[in-house]
Formats: sequence, structure tokens, C-alpha cells
Amino acid sequence: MAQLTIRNLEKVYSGTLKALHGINLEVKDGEFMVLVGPSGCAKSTTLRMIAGLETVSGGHITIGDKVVNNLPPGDRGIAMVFQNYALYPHMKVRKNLSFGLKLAGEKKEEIARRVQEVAEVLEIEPLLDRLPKQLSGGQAQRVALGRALIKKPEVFLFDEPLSNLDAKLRASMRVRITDLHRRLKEQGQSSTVVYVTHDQVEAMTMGDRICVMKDGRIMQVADPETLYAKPANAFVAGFIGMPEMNLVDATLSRGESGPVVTFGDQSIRFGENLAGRLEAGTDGDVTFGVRPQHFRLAAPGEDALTAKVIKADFLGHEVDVHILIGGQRFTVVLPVEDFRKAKADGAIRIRPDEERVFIFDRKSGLNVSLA
Amino acid sequence: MSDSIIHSDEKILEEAEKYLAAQKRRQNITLTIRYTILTVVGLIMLYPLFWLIGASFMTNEEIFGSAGFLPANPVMDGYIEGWQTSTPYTFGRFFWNTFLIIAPKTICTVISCTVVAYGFARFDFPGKKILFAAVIGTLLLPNVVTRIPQYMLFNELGWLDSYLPLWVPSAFAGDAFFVFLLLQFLRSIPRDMEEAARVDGATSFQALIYVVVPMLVPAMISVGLFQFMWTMDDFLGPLIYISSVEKFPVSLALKLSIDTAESFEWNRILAMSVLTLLPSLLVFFMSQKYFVEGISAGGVKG
Amino acid sequence: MSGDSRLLGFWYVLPYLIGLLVFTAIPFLGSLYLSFTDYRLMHGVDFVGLQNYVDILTSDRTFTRSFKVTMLFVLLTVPLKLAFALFIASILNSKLKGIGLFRTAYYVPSILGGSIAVAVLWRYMFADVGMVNMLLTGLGFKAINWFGNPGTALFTITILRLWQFGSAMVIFLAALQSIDKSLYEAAAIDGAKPWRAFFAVTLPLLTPVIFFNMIMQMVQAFQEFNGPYVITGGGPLKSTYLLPLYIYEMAFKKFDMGYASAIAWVLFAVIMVLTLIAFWSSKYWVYYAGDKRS
Repeated sequence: MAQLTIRNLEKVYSGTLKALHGINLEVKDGEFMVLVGPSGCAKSTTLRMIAGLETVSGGHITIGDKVVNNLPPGDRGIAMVFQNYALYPHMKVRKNLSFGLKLAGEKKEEIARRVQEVAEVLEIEPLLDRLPKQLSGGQAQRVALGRALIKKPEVFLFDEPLSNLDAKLRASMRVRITDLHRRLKEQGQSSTVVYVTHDQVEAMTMGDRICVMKDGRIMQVADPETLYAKPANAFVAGFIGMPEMNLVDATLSRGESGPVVTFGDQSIRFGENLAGRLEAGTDGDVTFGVRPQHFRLAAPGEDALTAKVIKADFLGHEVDVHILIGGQRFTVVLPVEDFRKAKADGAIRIRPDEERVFIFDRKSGLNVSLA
Repeated sequence: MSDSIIHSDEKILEEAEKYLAAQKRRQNITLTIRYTILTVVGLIMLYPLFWLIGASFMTNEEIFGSAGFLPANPVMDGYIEGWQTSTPYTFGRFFWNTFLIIAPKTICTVISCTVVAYGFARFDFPGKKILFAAVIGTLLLPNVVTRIPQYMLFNELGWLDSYLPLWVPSAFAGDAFFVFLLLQFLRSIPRDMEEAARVDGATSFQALIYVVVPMLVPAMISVGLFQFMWTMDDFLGPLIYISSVEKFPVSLALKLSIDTAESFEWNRILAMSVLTLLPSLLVFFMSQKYFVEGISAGGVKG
Repeated sequence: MSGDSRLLGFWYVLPYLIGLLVFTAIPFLGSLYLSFTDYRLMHGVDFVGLQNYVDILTSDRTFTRSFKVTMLFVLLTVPLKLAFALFIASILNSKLKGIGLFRTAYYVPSILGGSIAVAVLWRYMFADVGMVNMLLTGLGFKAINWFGNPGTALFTITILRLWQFGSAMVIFLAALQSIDKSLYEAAAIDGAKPWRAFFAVTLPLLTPVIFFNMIMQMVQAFQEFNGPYVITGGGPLKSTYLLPLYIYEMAFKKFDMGYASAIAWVLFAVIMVLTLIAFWSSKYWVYYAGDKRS
């Protein structure tokens, strides 16, 4: 039973190129931790360093109670599921599954038993005597999963395992993986997972906690709800959630009743909720953030923003409306009836939900409205 | 008005068809010329070989008689007498010697070149660039300057008149060409499976044996086949190092037979020549697929 | 990878390193040293400085003859072989049926050509009553004493080398087939006739392969041994006495290894100089796709 600890982990290439800037992370025992971020954020590099496929330039990695920096991959108590499956092409599925156990010197009966066990769980029994080239993408990935399961490792590592599958398969595999994780936990087996993906939907649906990375640094580590509702900075705010949060240049000033946010020639007044959350001294040029779903039509007479509609995408039950307010572009999601009503009235008058509004420091990107 | 339009349309069509026909004729002529040249050159090229095979079945008088290659009455005299040779040994003995040289040499080459190529392909180590430059350098190096001291070295070791000087350098990946060939192949194989093997607990050597080698087999066969054919043709090596007739490979035995044969006993020598060429030919034809892969991996792209 | 020593790769290439040192590097330097001695295998080693080289370059008539013959051989075979290989490759480079068959037919001689068996064949082909003379007399010409005349003897081994053009041809063919067809279409639209297209499009793109083949062929031609040794024995009158034969005879028949090493080094120097000239000249005529034309 293990947890994984990363302290000041650094990776430097060719003496000068620093890919990973000293990150710290703790993964609890049995936790499903997702590393997510755009390409180039060094999430895969981090994973490969945990696996031992890349050497550590600085800091250390602990699995359980062992520092594993200098241990070869096979001695770390980890198993890995690769993006391209990495099945041994000349070995049948059965052998692919049992290769690691054979190297470890396990007895034949034990190996056979475990192969059978894993094959049942993943429903790949009919495939046991096939070669990898005879498998479909989904089947191959299940075999790769089986190869990891059979080892009963302390930590499972996943390197973008679903990116090569089509959308439908991806959805069903996601469920399969999370189900497996839950089952392992129930059975009391080690089930710590570090899962790398670039797809934030995957991250949000699968992870117990999510570690958002950018350019070799950690932007925020939290559970999905917190990431969504309390993003630590503009990057996380814009990265998590579909459609993307509106992040717009604005000016903040203090009015008599509360903070006033100005976009170009328009402003909107907010009250105690935002005032209470704002850090002291926040003023002037800021980045204003609010999700498209958190707008509503303003009641007549209410303080609101007048929006010019550029484009409206009908999605059946709701409408993605692209609008201009004071020269800045926004996306707003409205129920169809509301949109029709608004259009009928001639212009769209909308108001963002005050509780859902964020103010970010223009320079640092930090969320200054969390308090 | 409409009449003249129809007429001019017809005229245009006629012109177009004439032009197309002329073009087709030109293309056919070009094609014919190509085929002719290729066939004529091909026949001229291969005629010596046809003649060789045919002559080996003729009597000596018939060989001197004409330039034709079809024997009037095929006889086996050449083969039977040639096989006996004018030494105490039959040609079978010489073929066996050749096998004794080729087999260990080929196996040593394949093994050592694979291991060395793996080192270059998958690892970084101090001095790698220099050593790799040496691999490329020896590809172009005329070995005329190393033969004499090599002889002296083997003399010191007491290896003269044995097959050791022919085997041992190959055990040390002596043929840089094959290292290069295998290296190119390795570079095109993704590392994922080796990484998976390491995660499964394999050492780098186990990854090599269990995962890489099975994928490298076509290239390794290429190497083996090339080395087989080059060694069959090797003359200077055995010439320098082997002095007892009983150890002669077929290349030396053939030379010996020319020197000792009476001036008219051609059919014997030609017959043995045919036998000497057969293994290479057989190997070549049985492995067409591997050769094409081998050449394109190490040649133009490399 | 973690857990691997920094030297792990080094251990894998160690066999090569050992072989390189023992069988290549040390002999290489050893032969240079030997060339400054008069070592004769059984006797001791006496340093003679540059005497060997002086003899070679000034008083050794055999060397002069051998050198001339070798240069003639190389200058004849390399361009002719390349030209012929290119010619046949370009004829083959079309949608012909049976390309594979022709390619095999031309390639077979080059895999057999270096063997003693073929050298033997050649000796009999060009003998006074050999096949070639039979053909000539059959067509009404006079038989030629191939091995009796210096000029014709060289011709026989030249032909043997040219016969093996298949290996160069296969490389040219592969290169030709990898040229983007749309380049020819563009040239055709520009109004270029086939000949023009060949010189304007094909040839420039082929220059790297031509260069590669040229170097390889040249280095091989300078080391030709089997053919001359078996077919003509170097004669008549040393008209086919290529330098490798001279070196062989000096080193392994007369055991004058110091002198032989010196000759080997002269040959090596000639090859190196020509190779360097070729590399230097390649700036001007070898065109790598992606470079700017000068």
C-alpha cells in the first residue's frame, strides 16, 4: 500500500533546457490522480520520471517508503499503460500478459491463474492466443491494461492511454478504467493511479484530484469541483470547463455599492459577494472571468450589459451566443426560449451571476477573488 | 450557319484523333526501343553465365568448337572428373572447408553486429560520437593498409594456416557496413516495447533478447545473407592465411585447379566453377525479399 | 533510463571498440611505421626513414608501371560503370512490365562477379580458343590474342568490372523511382522535351547518389585484386599489374613487408587525395534538395 511523493522534481535536457521546474506533489494511497495540461507542459515527462524511463535531474521521487530515483523501472513497484499500447508484437496475448511475471520467476501455476483472473476481468479471454496485430485498438488497450493489472503494482501509471481510440471507445474505456479502480479499492488492493491526459473532460470525469500543469510547473492541484468552482489562476480557469470560461480584459473600480467592472464603454455593478471575496487593494486593470453558462437575461431596470450578437449556434436545447460587449468578445450559453425572447426585444441585456464571477490579476494571472 | 459549325466540329475531332494516334505510336516506339535495349543488354550480360553452365556439360572438344552454349550431347564428365580434382581431396572437401569458414563467420557477424548496433541505437555514453565517426570512417577505408600488420599479428599469435584470422575479426563487429545496416533498422523501431519490457522488470539485455531481436530478424537475415555471399567470394583472405591444400576453401581450390590442370581440361574446371556459384545464386533467389529491404535500409536512405 | 549505468551503452559497443583497436587502428599505424623500415618478417626491423618512398617514387620501374596501369583502370572503369548503370537505370525507370526480371538479370552478375569462379570463366572466355574468339571468327573477324597483348589484357579485366554494374544500377534505380513525378509534369508544362527534362530535373536530383556511387566505386576499383590475379596474373608485361597485386607479391611472396607497406601507403594516399578532391568538388556539382542553388 503506497503513496507517491514528489519533491522538487526537476528535469533538465542537454545541460540548459529546463523542462520541469522543481514540482511538488503528493498522491494519497488509492487516489486517482490526473496530470493534465496542454502539450509541452511536461506531464508525460513527470510520469516517465516516476516510471524511471527518464532520469531525474533534481529532487526525488518516493513510492511507499522508498526513494526510487536510482532504481530501474522494474524495481519500483510500478506498472505502466502506454499510449501506443507497446504490446510485444511477436508474443501472443497470453505471453504479453505473463512476460513480467516470468522474468520475476513466478511459478507456472501462479502465472496461469493470474492470467486467467485478469483475462476474465477485462473480458479478453477469447483473445489470449492471438497476436497483437490481430487485435483492434480497444482490445489492444485492454491487453495493455491487463499487463499492468497482472503485476499488482503499488502505483499504476497511464500515459494518455485513450488518445489513439475513437470517441465512442474512449468513453467506454474511461468507464472501464474507473470501474476497475473502484473495484481494486473495494478489494483492498493497491490502487494508486497517476494518469496523464491532455483532455480536460477525461481529467474531470476520472480524477479524484487533478494536477493542472503548464510549462513545467503545477498550476493547481485539487478535486474537480474545486478546480471548476475555485480556479487558482486564469490558466486553470480557462483550461477547465466546456465551453471555456470567458477571460476578458477589464477595469475594476470601487463604486458606492460595490465593485464596478468596466469593459470599454460599458460597466456593470456588483455587490457584497464579490466585494467580500476580493483581495484588498485590487484595482485597475484586471482580467475578468465568468463561464458562459453563468449569465442570465437581465430583468428590466436591472443593471446589465448590452450585448451585440455576432453569431448564435443552436445546440437544440440551448444556444451558444457569441457577443460583443464594449469591444470584447464573450460566449454566453442561454436556454433557447430566453434567447428568442431577448432577440424579440431587440437587444440582449444580460447579467453575469455575481457568485460565479472571478477577478484575476492581469499580470500574474492569480485569482484575487477567492477569499 | 449551323452546318459549318458541325463541319468544323468534325474537323476538330479528326485532328484530335490523328494527334492522339500519332502520340500513341510514338509511345509504342519508345517502349519498343526500351524493351529492345534492355533485352539485348540483358542477354549479352547473361550469356557468359549461360555459356558457363552449358560448357560444363560439354566435352572439351565441343567447347573449343564453337561459341554456342547448348551442348549437343550433354555429358557429366566435367563434373565427375572435376570433383576428383588433382589433389588427394575431392571438391566435396573444399566445399566443406568453405562451410567451416562461412558458418562461424556469419553467426559471429550477426551476433556481434546486432549487439553493437543496439549499443549505438539505444544508449548515450561518453565517446559515442567519436566511435560512431569511426564506424562511418571504416566504411570508406581501403583495407590495403591494414592487411600486412594484421598478417604479422596473426603470425605472432600462431594463427597462420588456420581459419581463425577469418573468423575472429567478425566476432568483433569487424564489418562496419553491417553495424550501419542494423543501426538504420533499429532507428526505425519505436522504443515503446523496450520501455514496456523494462517496466516489466527486464534488464536492457533481456529487452534486447526478448523484445528487440524478434523484431530485428529480417535485418539480421539480410546481414547473414550478405555476409554469406561476400565470404563465398573471399579470395585474398584465404590466399594469405591458408597454406595447406587440405584446408583450402573452394575459391583457393579453383585457383589451384587452373594452375595444375592440363591446358585442355576445361570442362572440369568450368563444372566446378558452376558448383561454386550455385550456393550464392540459390541464397540470392531464395531471399529476394530480404535483399531489397537490406539494400534500401543501408543504401540510399543511409 | 534510471538504474542504468552511464557506461551501459559503452559495454554493448565494446566488442567493436576492441576490434577497431586491434584489427584496424593498430595495424593502420603499424603499417605506417613499417613503411619506414626494411622489415622482412624473419629478420629484424631496421629503420630506413624515407628510403622506401624515395625508391618507389624515383627508381622503381615496376611501381611506375603498376601505378599507371592502376590509374588507367580506375579512370576507365569508374566513369563507364557509372554512366552505364545510370543509362540502364533510366531506361528501366518506366512503367515496364518485368522490371523485376530485368533488375535481377543485371544484378546477378554483380553478386557473382567478385568470385574466383567468374574470374576463371573470364579466363576461358577470352582464351585463344575461348568463346569470345569463337564468336569473332564466326562473325568473320580475326581472333584476338587477348592475353598476349598488353592493351587487350587490360580490356578483359575492365570488361569484368563493367559487367558488375548491377549493384550501382540498383541504387540509381531506387533513387530515380523516388523522384517526385510531379516535377516531371511541371517540366512538361514548362515545355521541356524528355532530354531537356533529364538534364534539368533528373540529373541534378541524382547528384548526391552519383557522388556516393562514385566514391564507393573508386575506392573499390583501386583495390581490385581477384580479377587481375586469376585471369592475367598481372601480365603480359605487367600490363594488368594493378597496385594491389604488386603489394601482395612484395608482402607475401617476397616478404619484403617494409617496402610493401610503403607501397600500400602510397596507394592509400592517392585514394585519400582523390576522395578529398571529390568531396571538395562536390560543393560545385552535388545538389542536395533543400539547399540553395549557387
